[in-house]
Amino acid sequence: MKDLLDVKTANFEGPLDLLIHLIYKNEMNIYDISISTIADQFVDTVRQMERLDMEVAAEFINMASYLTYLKSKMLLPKTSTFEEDIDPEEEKFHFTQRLIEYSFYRDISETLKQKEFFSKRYLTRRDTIYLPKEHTSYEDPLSLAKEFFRLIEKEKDDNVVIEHDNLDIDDLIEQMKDFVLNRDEIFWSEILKVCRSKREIVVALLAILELVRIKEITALQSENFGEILVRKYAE
Amino acid sequence: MQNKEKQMFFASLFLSGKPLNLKFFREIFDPINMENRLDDFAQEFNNMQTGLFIRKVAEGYQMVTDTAIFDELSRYFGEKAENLSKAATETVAVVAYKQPVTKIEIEELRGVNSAGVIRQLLDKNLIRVMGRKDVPGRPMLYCTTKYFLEYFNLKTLSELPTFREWQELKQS
Repeated sequence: MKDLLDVKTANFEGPLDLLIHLIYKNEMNIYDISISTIADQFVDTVRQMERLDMEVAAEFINMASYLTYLKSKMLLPKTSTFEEDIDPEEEKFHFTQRLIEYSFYRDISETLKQKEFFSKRYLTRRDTIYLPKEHTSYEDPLSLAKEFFRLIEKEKDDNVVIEHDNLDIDDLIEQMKDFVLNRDEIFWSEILKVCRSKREIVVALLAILELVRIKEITALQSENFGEILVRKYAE
Repeated sequence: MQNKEKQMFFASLFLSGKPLNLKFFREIFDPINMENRLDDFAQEFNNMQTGLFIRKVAEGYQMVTDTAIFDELSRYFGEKAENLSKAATETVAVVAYKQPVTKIEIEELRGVNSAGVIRQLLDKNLIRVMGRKDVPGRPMLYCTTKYFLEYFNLKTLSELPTFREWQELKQS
């Protein structure tokens, strides 16, 4: 039983593969298939798979329901004039096109399989043999030593200066909010004037962005790199 | 002069781990009428029946072992290399014809999920990512590699039949 299952799954790559198989089995012309026959056989096969307790992939179920739908559409007389209804003939045409295209790739896949078989009989080297290049004179011991001492000298010179961090970012943001909100309109260049350091400018920008986000203010700019006008948010 | 060129040709093919294209030889040889000369060299080499063979593949030349002695060789050097699965050849066929192509487009054509098989082909260096498609989600675009041509012993992609050729063959 188990073996049978494996054979089944291995046989069909997907619903389209199964369809092509059914078309060949029934000796149908792929350009003019009988939807009704194919639909019945397809559903049968899917049922069989289920009976064998196999997990039928969603793609098969999907295709089975599509075929059943198409079949029922073709059986019904054409009476409805609803626009959203599909035209079964047109649908069949698209379906056939899809099958033909798939069967093309299926055949090419076969061709590639054969080519693979023959190509595998050519054994080949995978890695190139590289000749080791001569060392450059740069790496002689003297220059290496020189370079080494130059590096440690350099390290000695550098005194690292650690500045005392006396900026409280939260405070600054609050200050900036007050500063902006106390005025109805203010230019970005004016805000820059009250900032004493780069850090403060960054914080000011963050504060403005935050205020724009919570819709306390709006920021306007007429052109790229132009002056920015900050204004109280008006509904 | 010609002799030197011939020796260089054979030797570089011996050293190289992948097919060498015309661009490579154009840099070291006289480029006038070069392809004809190289073809003659290859022909001459193959006529000597040394057990080695120079094949034209992937828009270049490659030195390989002769297929006539494959069975004997494989006993000592043959690694059991797995062949591609049906799903893999089918997918790589779609990529070869539709490139550059996204995963969704491949799956639409094949009617099955192809994520696993695409990863497998990427691992085997048969396809590669060549960019992203400029649509929402920016899906990756796949195309075949030089190694793809080498693997299937193709000179160029145009060696594969076109859809029209296939259709005519089918209907006759």
